Amino acid sequence: MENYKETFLLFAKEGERNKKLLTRTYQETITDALEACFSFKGMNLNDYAVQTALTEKTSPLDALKMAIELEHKAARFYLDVAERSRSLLATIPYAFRKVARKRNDRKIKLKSLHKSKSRT
Amino acid sequence: MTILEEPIKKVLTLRNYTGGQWVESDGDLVDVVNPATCKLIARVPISTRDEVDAAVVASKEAFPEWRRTPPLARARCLFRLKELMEERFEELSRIQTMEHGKTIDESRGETRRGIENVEAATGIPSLMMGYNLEDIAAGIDEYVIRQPLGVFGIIAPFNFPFMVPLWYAPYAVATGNCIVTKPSPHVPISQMKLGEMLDEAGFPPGVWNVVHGGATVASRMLDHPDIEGICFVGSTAVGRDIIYKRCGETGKKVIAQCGAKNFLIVMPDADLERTIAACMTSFYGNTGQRCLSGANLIAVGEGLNQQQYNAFYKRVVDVFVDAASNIRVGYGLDESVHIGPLQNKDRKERVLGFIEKGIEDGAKLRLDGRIMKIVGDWPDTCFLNPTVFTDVTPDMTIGREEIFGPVASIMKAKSFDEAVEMIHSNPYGNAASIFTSSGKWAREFQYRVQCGNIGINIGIAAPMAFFPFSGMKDSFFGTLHGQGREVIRFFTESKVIIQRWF
Repeated sequence: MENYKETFLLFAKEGERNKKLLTRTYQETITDALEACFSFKGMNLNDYAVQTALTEKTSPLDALKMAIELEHKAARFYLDVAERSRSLLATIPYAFRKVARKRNDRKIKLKSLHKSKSRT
Repeated sequence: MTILEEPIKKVLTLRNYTGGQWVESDGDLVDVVNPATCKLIARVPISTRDEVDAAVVASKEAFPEWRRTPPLARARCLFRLKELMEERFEELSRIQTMEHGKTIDESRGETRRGIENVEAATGIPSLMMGYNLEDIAAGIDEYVIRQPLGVFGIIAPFNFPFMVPLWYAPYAVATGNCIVTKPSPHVPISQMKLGEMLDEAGFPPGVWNVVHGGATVASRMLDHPDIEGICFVGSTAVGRDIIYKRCGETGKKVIAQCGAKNFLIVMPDADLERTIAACMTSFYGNTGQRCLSGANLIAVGEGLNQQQYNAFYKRVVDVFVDAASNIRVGYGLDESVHIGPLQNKDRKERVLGFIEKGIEDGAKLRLDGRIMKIVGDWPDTCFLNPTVFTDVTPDMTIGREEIFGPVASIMKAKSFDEAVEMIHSNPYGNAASIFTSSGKWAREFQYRVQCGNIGINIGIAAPMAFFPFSGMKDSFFGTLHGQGREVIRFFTESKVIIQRWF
């Protein structure tokens, strides 16, 4: 269980840093993005939705599976918005790609955790 | 509908920031009202003549030491100020929405533009450098240094309460001058918040002062013998007939950035979808209360026969009206809203008067903003929905005068030349834009049009902090403009030294 706790605490800290990065990027570029009337088109948010409801019956391995799915879809979401925001200031797609990379790294960590827990 | 948390929880009583102290004014207090909710959010003093004098004395006393402070040390105060502004970015933005009515994203954009001016002014060690030349004669060198002058006054408008003073203030203090800012009494809170950061940023007492008030304060600033120059943004009537004139009489330097009636022209080869998207921000952003707002949209029939032109004009009108009808109007702290209310009831009344006049003059009212559709249950006191007139001619009141509200006038021109003539027939010259995919027409436009800020496929030709905010004809009075290198020249005097050593 210690492994879980450490990993998720690290994720939470990283989540705060990601939020800061995205907020800063938004605040630093808002005039340019908005005055060009930019909006993300052709995206369906349902494509990135993940069922994350946990019950008392959910096993830690199942919870891990959900988390892997969540990270997978989050990484894809950030890559998609990075692609769609390429016409904006370079800092915007850069920030999205950076977060996508981090979310992908998390997926890899979670997979490895899942593998090790499956063995035990 | 979710409303973001309001940062102003109780009615504030504002004070002046003079000589590094918060000083209560002896003047009467007037109400500052949130135009969306109509709730009282602050009381601002209408400061007295003596209080202006006290601020100028504090500035004058601070000047000798501040001008001797190395430019890099002055820049460090600005770096710290920038950091404090970043920390309070969201609070500052929400305050602007509460005092002015603009949407939160417009406020965030305004905060960013303000910060960018602080950032640009941090380059003062390079920006303020002079120049030199050796051997102008045998053994003689010549060089120019730029020196600050003393105390400057900044008289700010209501439409951009946070940003406009920052077109000048950071550069004034960076060059070693001291300032007295008078915010608009309608929207004084964000400048007060800025005042709260000055001490922490390290500005010595008296370098940067804020004196609240109205005409008495402005008038005293204009007459004060110890104020070297005035920066003003506001109406042409005040800028030309009072500010520019009185500065001339009292020998002050002056930047008076004034009213506007901006034309946007659409050529038949323009990308119409993107053009109209840009037009929405241009005509209706900040509820039309900005000097760079689009006012008149000319559909140009260059190269088209009558039938083709009629079809093109109809398409422009239809797409424009459709887009304008979908604009969501409401309280700016609701992030789903596109435009907020006008800043106060009187401004709305004034805009309503223009709508009446447009109908009277024979323009066709295609979208009537008087029919209210407000997101949320807010009093309609200051709200007005987007309005579109078509078949407007340049001689109609709505085609000629600055409305300063969410009203668009669509006009016809058979040719590019006719469109340029229409622009030039208007006394203002602040901004103009062309939408086209032709480099030839774009070049012709920038070459010929007598306006200070030109947009090519840009709805709002707003110069960044490191470029001057230009303006011509009745939109500007003075020689040097705000922002960029020009404002550095404005805040400094060139001194020439010719040197020989025996």
